[in-house]
Amino acid sequence: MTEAVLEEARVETRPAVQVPVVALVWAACAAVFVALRIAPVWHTPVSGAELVHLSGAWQARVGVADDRFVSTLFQSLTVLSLHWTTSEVPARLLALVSTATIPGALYLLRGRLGEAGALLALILLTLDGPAITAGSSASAMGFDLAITIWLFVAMTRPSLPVWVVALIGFTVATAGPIPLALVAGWAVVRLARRDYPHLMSAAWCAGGIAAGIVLATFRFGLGVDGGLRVPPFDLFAASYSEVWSTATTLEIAALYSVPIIVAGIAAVGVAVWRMSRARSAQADGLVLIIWAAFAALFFVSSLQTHSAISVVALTTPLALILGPALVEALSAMWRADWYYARWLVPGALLAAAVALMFSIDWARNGRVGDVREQLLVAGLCVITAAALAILATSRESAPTIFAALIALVAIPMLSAAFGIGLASSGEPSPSPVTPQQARELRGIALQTARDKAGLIVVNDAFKDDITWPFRDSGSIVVASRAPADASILVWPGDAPPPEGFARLEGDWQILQDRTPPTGSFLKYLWWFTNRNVLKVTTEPVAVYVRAGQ
Amino acid sequence: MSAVLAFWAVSLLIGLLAMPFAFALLRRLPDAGAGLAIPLGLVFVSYVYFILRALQVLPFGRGGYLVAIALLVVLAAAAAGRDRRFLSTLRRTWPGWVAAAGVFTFFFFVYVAFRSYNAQIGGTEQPMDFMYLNSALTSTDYPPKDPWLGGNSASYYYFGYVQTAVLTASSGVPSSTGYNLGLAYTFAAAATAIASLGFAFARWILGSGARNWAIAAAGLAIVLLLFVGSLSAIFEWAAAHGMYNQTLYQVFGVEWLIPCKDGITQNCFAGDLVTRGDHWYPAEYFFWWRGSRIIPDTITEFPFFSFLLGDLHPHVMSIPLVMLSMGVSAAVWRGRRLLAWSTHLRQPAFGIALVVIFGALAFENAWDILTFTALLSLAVLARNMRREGIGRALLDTATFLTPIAVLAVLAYMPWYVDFRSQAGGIKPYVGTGTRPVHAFLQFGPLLIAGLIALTWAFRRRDRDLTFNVTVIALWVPMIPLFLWLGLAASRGELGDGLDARTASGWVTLAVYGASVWLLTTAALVLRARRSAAVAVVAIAAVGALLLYGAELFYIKDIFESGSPRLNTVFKLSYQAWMLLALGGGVALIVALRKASGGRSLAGWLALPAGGLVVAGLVYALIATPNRTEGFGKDSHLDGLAFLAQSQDPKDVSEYALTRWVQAHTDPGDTVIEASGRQWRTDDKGQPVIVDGSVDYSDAGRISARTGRSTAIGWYFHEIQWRGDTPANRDEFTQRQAEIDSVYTQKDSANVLSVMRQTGANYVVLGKLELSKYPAASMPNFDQFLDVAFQSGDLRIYRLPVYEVLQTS
Repeated sequence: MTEAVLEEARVETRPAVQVPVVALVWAACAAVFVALRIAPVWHTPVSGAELVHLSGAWQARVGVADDRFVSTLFQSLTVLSLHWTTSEVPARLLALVSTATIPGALYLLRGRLGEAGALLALILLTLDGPAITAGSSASAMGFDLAITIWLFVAMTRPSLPVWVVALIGFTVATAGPIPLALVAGWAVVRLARRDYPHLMSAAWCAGGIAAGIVLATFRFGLGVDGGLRVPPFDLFAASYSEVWSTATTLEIAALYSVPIIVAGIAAVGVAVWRMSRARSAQADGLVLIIWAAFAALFFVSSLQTHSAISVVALTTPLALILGPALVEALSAMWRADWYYARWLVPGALLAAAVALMFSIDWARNGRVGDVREQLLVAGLCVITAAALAILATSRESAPTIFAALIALVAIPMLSAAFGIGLASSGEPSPSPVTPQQARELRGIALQTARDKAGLIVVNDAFKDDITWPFRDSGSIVVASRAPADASILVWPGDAPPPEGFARLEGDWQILQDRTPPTGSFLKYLWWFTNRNVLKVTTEPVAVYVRAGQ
Repeated sequence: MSAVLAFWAVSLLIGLLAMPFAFALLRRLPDAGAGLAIPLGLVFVSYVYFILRALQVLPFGRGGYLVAIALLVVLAAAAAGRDRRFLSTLRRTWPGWVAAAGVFTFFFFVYVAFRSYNAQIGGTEQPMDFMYLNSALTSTDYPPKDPWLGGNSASYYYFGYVQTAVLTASSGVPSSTGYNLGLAYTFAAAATAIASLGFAFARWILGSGARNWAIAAAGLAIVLLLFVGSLSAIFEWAAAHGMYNQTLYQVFGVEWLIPCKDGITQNCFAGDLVTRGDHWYPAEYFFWWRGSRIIPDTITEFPFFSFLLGDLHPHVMSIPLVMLSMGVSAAVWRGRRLLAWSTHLRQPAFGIALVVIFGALAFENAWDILTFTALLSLAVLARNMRREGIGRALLDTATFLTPIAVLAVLAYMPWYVDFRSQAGGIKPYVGTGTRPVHAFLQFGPLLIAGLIALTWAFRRRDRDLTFNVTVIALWVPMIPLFLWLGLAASRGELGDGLDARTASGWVTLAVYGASVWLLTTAALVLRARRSAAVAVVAIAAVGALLLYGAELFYIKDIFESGSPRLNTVFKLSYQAWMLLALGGGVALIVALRKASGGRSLAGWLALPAGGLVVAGLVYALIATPNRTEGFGKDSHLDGLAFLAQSQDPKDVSEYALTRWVQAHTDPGDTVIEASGRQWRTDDKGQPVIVDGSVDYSDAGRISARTGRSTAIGWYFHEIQWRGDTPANRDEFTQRQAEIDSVYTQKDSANVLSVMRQTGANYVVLGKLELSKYPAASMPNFDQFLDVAFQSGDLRIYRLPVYEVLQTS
């Protein structure tokens, strides 16, 4: 055959379009990232911070001043959406659309994090439970995650057009608290290194910030309510004082984000150690570390508060640090001496699994087993630890421990991510939630009020809780005593029955609290193996209708 | 314990963040400002918080405080970035930073341990202090409100409360614990700061080879400032053990410790002798209080007494800031370049730092501003005089300081707008002078420690120089004396003034005057010799001058009619104590060093002076077990736990009631609670007032403990803060009457009207209300108000809610 024939044959066998494997991997990861955020948009009940902020947005929509409306750009767009629908879905979709750009941002960070590092960072963000909620819910911080990641992308660019700088200033000034740690970290690094921004850029940025603050103060055209408003500061403060979650920050982190936080902090430690040894550091690397430090302070100072925001604020930079570190760890694991590890790693995992099975059995029974079982479990734990310790003693085989750790960590991370991502009702976060029944209660109340030509009266204890489920219901009276012209009362279930009213049969609910399975390891374990056991508590609500009409 | 650790860690963190500022401002100090970094950081972060809250940039709540700290981090990074010697300074001074952290930690936990046996926030003016702390923490708008006068902003120097609020809020500690930890912070920061200054001055005088002596100076300065007390404690201890010597007690002016004879109750001890002496320390309740009232009709409080008592007062909280201001002055004095108008153009950040620090002096304790800006002025002048003649130096000093003074007022304008100073000018004091023995008992150890400088300041070969400056120095005590004579004569009070002072009063004045004269002479001689010791002696001279000045003049205030110089002696002698503790501590160690070297016979005079210092420690030794009841009380740090632990169920309910208000009402809410006046029903069944005094009582307690507003709290304190004018008296009395009418008129319409008028949503029916108002005259609140909280007999009522919500 001639060369021409051979070339012709080669052309014929070459596919029409060549798709690199890495691109496919990126596409797949991005698809999973988005997929895990789609179900919550339609199926997660309005809950947590979202409930507070949607209530605030609705109040703004109907022209009622309410502290729950914080004039972030997202919150203002939510108000806009509520002008043509009473559903939370469009606002959630808005959050989802912005969050869906995060894989793109990480793609652009390949130069800084490495191809595999960026991919792993994306996978970590994909699987972080609180980040899934934050990226797909209509809280006032709906844009925060996307803004934060894109902000970091922008900071890694050598120069930006001034209009982009102004836009950055504007978006940060009208965002929530999550980007604050990054902005502070960036400012610290630039100032400490005397790497001052160009005067023109600084001016444009200041202009953008000023424009954002002015617009926020005027609530994007909804009118001034109070004094100056700086939404990131307001929401940062609110994350300490308001209840945006039934579980505490510590509980949320313990349930969903321990792997990223622990491994991330270790990765930060290694990075700092390397920098101190090298006596030099790249600005981007330093920004990441200082960002993580600020976020860690935010997280630590809010451990006892009821919000998941500081968890997300921390896991975001840690994921970006951890991604490249994991690549190194996996690469070292791949190159490691597996001669003993091929037996010891599965052995350790097997021992751990058997110990876990006993523990799950104990958890199911709600008590620890007898001494024999306890000794057995302790022995299995010792075997696991000993196997890993043996591997750790040899420099060549030590990296194989990662295999065991990844196996141990992957299961809870995946189950949590899929639990939240598939809008499972067995997850303690997000909570508290407005059950469907609250909206049904509103229907009954409206019907009764129409039939009996009287007022719908809600006890003032439920004043804030009913804003969202009772939206678009005309005039409702909030009162502490039953007025004479009331036709239906929504009243505390444990309060004495008001005179002249008959109780409507049924267990009514306005809010559900999903109590986190914390307090003991067995409790956690039982929930971990059987999500249906999650304890749900509700404040008893009674419904009364005027008797004799 | 987690609260203590969090508070301590935040204090240290703020100090660490201030490192770049300390390097920039205080690099001249051997530790580069390590010992002053914590108050420096706290002043900066508190100022940032205060001003940004006032400008509505920062939000209400804990988050606002944390943002202020984050902004401090950014500013610190900027300062570190601009400082090319940052790393080299850190390498040079890191032992100082470790030592400062160690000293702070040690004294913090020592005080926490002490206070944990006596954590109760109650009695004296502690409710007022707690009220201001809660106000700083919970005010929805800034400047903070005055919770004891609903609808009004605070008119007081409250920056110390803002600082304590920064530490309390950012560490996530409840205010009732933060109050006590704030005291611990102040104690520890004061110790660290004066140690840093003492070390610096001693090292400058003795040279770098005398490091151990400098450390001893630091330690002695701490002892003099924070542990030495009134020498009257020796007599207290002796009297408690039945050791009386009539003559000796009379000579030392403590005859009131001798048990009264039959039929006599004045100027003798009329208390229970049995309870007085059943321990190794005097067991009489609050015996140590007398140590702060040695000079009749004055308050002679000193730092150990303040920390023993536990009032979180401005003059106590300001100690670290005062030390910081002295540190800055010392660093300024040690600098080399000329300071003038052009300095601000060259180094604007330096001027801004001075504006924030020295502006804060007035805001934290208005009495400090004159004394310690005067020290700064002296430091600037002394520095400039090293470069140019006195005329030019004065001009440059003025051009350097004037912009700082103007900006210091502008920077704190939100506070000045609401602040109503009650100072009514300076007047000559024409009353009885201080007896020398009282002055000795109170200030003897410190003044003599300061005067020890005279033993090493003069040299035989400087005799001519000394003679020349002696005449100049004489003017320093003479000018105030002539001024006093002139003012008294112009007011027609000279004759009375000369007589009333009495011979012993003139002796005291002469001793103080001579001290000022001699110390000033020594300072001028040392200055001429370009000795580093000039600063120490000048500081001691200023301390003596304050004692001297308080004998001649007083600031006219509300106490003028009864005890005209009460506050003047109190506040100026407190400043003198701080100055003499520093000056005296260093002077004494320098003298001891000379004695140890055998080079100076005069140095041996330091030994008896040291003995007096040791005698001054008796107060701390015997008062501490008295205050803590021999460390036998329950140990905790919650200042309100005494209610929860009380045997009286009503106190337990009061605790629950207070916590309910904190948890369930909005910070901006107003509550109606007892005015504090005692009522009873007269023969006709009408309620009448039987006791109108409300100050120093539980009046306004819910407001004080929660920061929620009430219509009127402590009446006379409001008069002190806002002025004794007919309008104020009318308004405050009217408020009291309205509040009392809520509990003494059965008319529900009146209650609702008062609630509307005062903006109150809640009416408290607690232990105080049940004890102050006759039950028979109270309206039946249940009929027209909602019961929001109930515990036992105690209740909180709330206005019924009726609100139409538009949901579409």
